[in-house]
Amino acid sequence: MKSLIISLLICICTSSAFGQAGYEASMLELEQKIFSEENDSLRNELCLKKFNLSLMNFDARRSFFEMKRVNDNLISNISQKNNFLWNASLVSKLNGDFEYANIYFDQYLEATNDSNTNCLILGFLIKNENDTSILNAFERQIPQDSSLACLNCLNAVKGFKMKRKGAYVKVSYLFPGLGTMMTGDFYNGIGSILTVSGSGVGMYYLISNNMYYGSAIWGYLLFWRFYTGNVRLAKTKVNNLEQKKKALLADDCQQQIKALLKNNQIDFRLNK
Amino acid sequence: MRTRLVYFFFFLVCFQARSQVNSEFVDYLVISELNKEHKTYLDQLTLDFGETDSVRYYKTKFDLLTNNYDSFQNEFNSCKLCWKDTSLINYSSIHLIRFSIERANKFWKADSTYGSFVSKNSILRKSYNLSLNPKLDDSFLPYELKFHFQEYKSAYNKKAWVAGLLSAAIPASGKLYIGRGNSFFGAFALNVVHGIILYEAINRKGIEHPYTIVSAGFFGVFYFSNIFGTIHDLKRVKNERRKHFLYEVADYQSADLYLYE
Repeated sequence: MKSLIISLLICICTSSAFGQAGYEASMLELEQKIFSEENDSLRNELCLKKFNLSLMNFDARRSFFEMKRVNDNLISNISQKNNFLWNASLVSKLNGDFEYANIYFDQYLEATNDSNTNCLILGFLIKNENDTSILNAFERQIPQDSSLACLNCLNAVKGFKMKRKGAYVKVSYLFPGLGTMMTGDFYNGIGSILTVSGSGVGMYYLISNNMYYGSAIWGYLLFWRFYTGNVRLAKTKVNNLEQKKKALLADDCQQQIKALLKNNQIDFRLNK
Repeated sequence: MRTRLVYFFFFLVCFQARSQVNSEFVDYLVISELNKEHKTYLDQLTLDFGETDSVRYYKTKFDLLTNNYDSFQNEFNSCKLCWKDTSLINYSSIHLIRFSIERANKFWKADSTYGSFVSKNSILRKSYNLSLNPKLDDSFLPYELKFHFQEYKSAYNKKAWVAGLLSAAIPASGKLYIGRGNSFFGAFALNVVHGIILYEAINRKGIEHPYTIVSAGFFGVFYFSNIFGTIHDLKRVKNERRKHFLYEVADYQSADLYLYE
């Protein structure tokens, strides 16, 4: 009898020990509670718990999914609600959904009037990915802060356009291959020169030998394609060059922002 | 008596009298697209109760839901309950045929081995057999599918040598025969253009001139590729029409058929 009671106790204890399973088991447990809960507020509270649990486990994708299930209007605790709005904007940003991020951030700002540097940085980073007018409106709204001056590089990256882009293309119309060479792609430039001039010479040879049909057909099939292809190639190369320069600028900006974030860390705000 | 009572409570606590699978909860997980929770739930059931047939049944469905076909086939083969569920078998066939016709065929073979071969009476299975041999009786096909079958049958009956011969006589005309009217004009024009170049070159420079030889080479390439291209294209047309026919049958059969109720 004694041993039976002991084994019963062991069973109960080991069961609860196994109950402390991992993150997935906890998520499932919460979902089961959500499923059986009929009260909307309590259900929302459980959804919020699930959202916070996914945040604690750095499961950004899942957090984004869980975030959408939480109704912030049903969160009665002000501090919990503000934390949720902050986390939601951060999670949306991390998942690349800047529209959601902007909506949640605006709600957060409206509710808290937070003017901390890390809040302003997050605002900059979110609004920069939205329309320029949204970013400008945000800049007018916030107090002037010299420590945030480096964030202007975001504007510079966004508005970056290579100068005299059209010149490369125009040059390609006049001297096939030259525009491509000017972008730094020497070999493709040489290729364009050879193909366009080669097919041009071929056409000339056919005309001079009174083979007008052959000249017209080869001219259309080869010369025209090589010529227009050379212009298209120059356009593509210029765009690539522009992207490359923009990427360098963005990288430089990223470094500045990283340095700024080192001193003003942006993190999730989890309720104790 | 007391000892028996204690034993009873002992087993009640250790093996909690939970039903194995909460199907309502599973449906809820499916509707909410909570696949990770769904998987955890099924794994937990396996841990708690072992690989029982009902757990395997839900695992099979889950594999189908998440398009995990390899695992699906393994689970299905060892799941007795699955082979008894006609609608699940039909749903699986439809799902698999859209992924790969060969995989669906493999599934039907498994049905004849492990199950009671209920799939042999499904329209999809019969249509698959019909697609292999269109001369079989097609009276089982409903009116809506007859047109698609006729489309496939007409492509199936086309002969590669006729298409090749037509393309040899009038370049690209084989394309019209195999039902690729859109690519006829492009191929025909290309052959005509190269024919003109060759004719002009022979006329002006004579047959032994290098330019004539090069032009003849170009013409030859386009001419013969038009013939072989048409023959190859016919195989593609047949395959496309077959797939189209089977997909239409799958669509037809999938009406009112759901993986989860």
